[in-house]
Formats: sequence, C-alpha cells, structure tokens
Amino acid sequence: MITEDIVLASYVNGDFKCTLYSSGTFTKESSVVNPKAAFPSSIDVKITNYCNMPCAYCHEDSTTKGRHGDISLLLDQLAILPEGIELAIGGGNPLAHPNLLQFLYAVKQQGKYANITINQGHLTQYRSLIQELVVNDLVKGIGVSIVNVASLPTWLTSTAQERVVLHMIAGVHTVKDVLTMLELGAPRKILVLGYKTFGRGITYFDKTVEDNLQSWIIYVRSLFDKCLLSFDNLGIEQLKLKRFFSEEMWNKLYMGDDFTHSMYIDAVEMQYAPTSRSSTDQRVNYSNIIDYWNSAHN
Amino acid sequence: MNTIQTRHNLFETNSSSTHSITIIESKLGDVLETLYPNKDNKIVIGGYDFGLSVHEYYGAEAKASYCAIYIRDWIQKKEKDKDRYLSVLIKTIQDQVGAPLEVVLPSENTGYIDHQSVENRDIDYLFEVPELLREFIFNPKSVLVTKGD
Repeated sequence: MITEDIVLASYVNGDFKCTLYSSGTFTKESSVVNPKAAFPSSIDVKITNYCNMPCAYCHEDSTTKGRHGDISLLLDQLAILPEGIELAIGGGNPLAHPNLLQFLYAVKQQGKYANITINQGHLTQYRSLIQELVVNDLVKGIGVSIVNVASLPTWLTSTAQERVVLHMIAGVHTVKDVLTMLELGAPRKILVLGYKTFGRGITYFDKTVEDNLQSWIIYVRSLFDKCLLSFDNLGIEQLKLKRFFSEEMWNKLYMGDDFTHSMYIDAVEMQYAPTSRSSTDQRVNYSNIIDYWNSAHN
Repeated sequence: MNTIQTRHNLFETNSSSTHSITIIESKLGDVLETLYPNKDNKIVIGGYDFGLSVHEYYGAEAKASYCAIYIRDWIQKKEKDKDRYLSVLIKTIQDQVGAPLEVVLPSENTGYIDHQSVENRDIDYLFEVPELLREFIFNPKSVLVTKGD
C-alpha cells in the first residue's frame, strides 16, 4: 500500500528551512555557507532513570532505584520552542513514568512530535499502553531497543510496522544478529548505534565487544541493500562509514554533528547537555533552552 | 549554493543521539563497495584473464585484479616503481575494507592482461592519486572495459 507523504510541519530554523513528513522523512534546506540552527530541531529527552531491565551495557546506568523526571518542569522548558520539532523520549524505561500519557498529550498540544524508545523486554508488559500511544497518535516513531534476537510480537508489527525502528548496538549485537532479525520478519528499519563506553558500557566492554565492532566495520556494507539502515554519529565514527560515500552524497545524507541540530535534556537531573554522552562539566542546570543554545553556538 | 540534507522514512527515535545518516536500499547506485575476507581473514584477489574479448567489469574484485596484474606485468616492463604502486593498491584495499587485513594478490602464474586491453596508455596515474584508485575499484559505476582492435 502506498500512502501519501504529507507535510506534518514546516518551519524556519536559523539558516535552515525544515520540513517533517508523515513518513518520518525530515529535510533541512539551506542556501548559505556554514548554516546554523537557531534552536534544536530534535531533542533527546530522558524522562526517567528508572528501569527494571538489567542490561549490562546500559550507558544510562538506569536501575530500579532510578528517579522519574518532573514532567511539569520539563513541559515549561519545552514550551518556548516552536511547533514542529521532534522529541526522542527515553529513559530508563519511559513507559514506567507515571505521568507519561499526560506528558505526551501536552507535547502534542504544543505542536511537537514525540517519538519514544522502549526496551524489547517491556513490550509484553506494556502492550496496552503502547497500543494506546499508537491509537491516539501520541508518538510517531517507536524505537525498540533489541535485547534478544527474536521475533517481535505480531500485535506490534501489525499495528505499528511503519513506526517501529529497531535499535541495535554495534559491539553488543552483530551484523548477523541484524540479518537474523530481518529473517524473523522484523520491521525493516534499523538504527545502528555506536558502542558507548559510558555508564555500565565501561565495564561491559571486553574482547568480544571489540571483536564484534571490528566485524561490524568489515561487514556493515553487506546490510546496505537489506533494509532501511540508519546510524548515529558514534556509529558513523566507529564503523568508518564515510568510506562508502562520495562527498556529494555524504553532504545530502549526513544530518550534522551532534549539537548542531540536536541536544539532550535530562529531566531527572533537570539539566541540558549537548548529548547523552556529555560529561558532567558539559551539563548545565535548567534555565532557558534558547539562551543555552545561543550561548553555545555564538 | 543550495543544500538539502535528508533523513529518509523514519522519525527521530534515537534517545541517545541522533539518526545522523540513513541509507535507502533503492538509492545505492553511488555507494562504494567493499571486499570481504575469506575464512582465513584474508582479502584474496583472484587472477582474472583480461583478454581480447569485449567485456565490462564493474565488480571490485575484478578491477582490483586488473590493477594488481597491471602492476605485476606492465609496470615491471616499464621499470617503474612497482613496489610503491603495490603498496598504494594494498593500502587502498585495506582502507576500504576498514581493517589492515592481509591482501593476497594474484600470483605470478594466474591472470593476464592482453596488450590490446591496455589501450596503448598506462593507468599509472591511478596509483599516484589513491582517491582515484579507490573510486575506480570500489565505485560500482566505474567500469573497466577490455577489448581488442
């Protein structure tokens, strides 16, 4: 079935004209050299540090002792940003936040587009909540952090196939794991994340992870014609991805360095940072997002 | 100058950074290829016979084979810097593979290039500019054509 790709949002952001489509496609158009954004078009938002999954490589170091962020304060922070921007909501386990629905309805009311990342291990437990998010269009994209190479539940793939993006970590997972997931009928949108030596990822890193990363570098090209494949900046660097592209093609596909069009909010600690990997001294307490962005970019 | 950067067909779900590049299956025409190691973790380039018949080669291994045989049989005849060109070829392959794996080139008795297929001109310039060599071998749109008179 072919569905029309309609414009969800179109706005000017500094030197860019940004357009977000219903397929998830996002374009940034500019006619100046070294264009700059006036605000983040995408914000990585950590709403909780609570999680009951014992992922040994969790770079957020989330546990059952983790706290939830204050949603009201977070909404106040976001309110000054224009309509059309995207939020990538995560945790911890964001589904465990007691005010998640209230937050998502408010985000929608603000004209912003929420996406969420959830752990594969939580799909069954939170089935009704996830379905509510989809039915009410409270989230657009659903990232599923893959823990085990296994089929995803059909209730998810049948109702939200186009929204689901599998998140797989280079080093934790292998190229073969990706192929196996595809063979098992998983949605064909894959995000490959670089391995973060951060949080529990520091102690998890061993020879196996190192060997897996090396194998990714060599075999990643074999995935290019198998699915819609995307990478984060760390993955691009670790997998030496640029070697496959001409400069012209790279300039069209590469969305920009971290903190040139995106930033990070830790709603638990009530702090801003360039990315979730930013060190403590790069994090600043809540004040005004636009001022924070401008002071960092001017 | 007008530039358009595009994230294709997915929303920004990444809650640890951003989707910084998306690769679409149907738009792979300009994406460079690579070579994969064998079970012994070596990159083995076979010895192709580049004869008089008209043939077009697009694959990376065939084009790498041509380069290796060219250096072996034609550079040598011209007493040029064979070893330096070989080093450039091997490093170009390793860089594209992404790892310093052993590269096994065609042995003395395998593969040949008929003189007609050298087209009365050398391709030495490829080994002077590694980026050009990389494009020639790994760009699926770069074609090696062999032919007679």
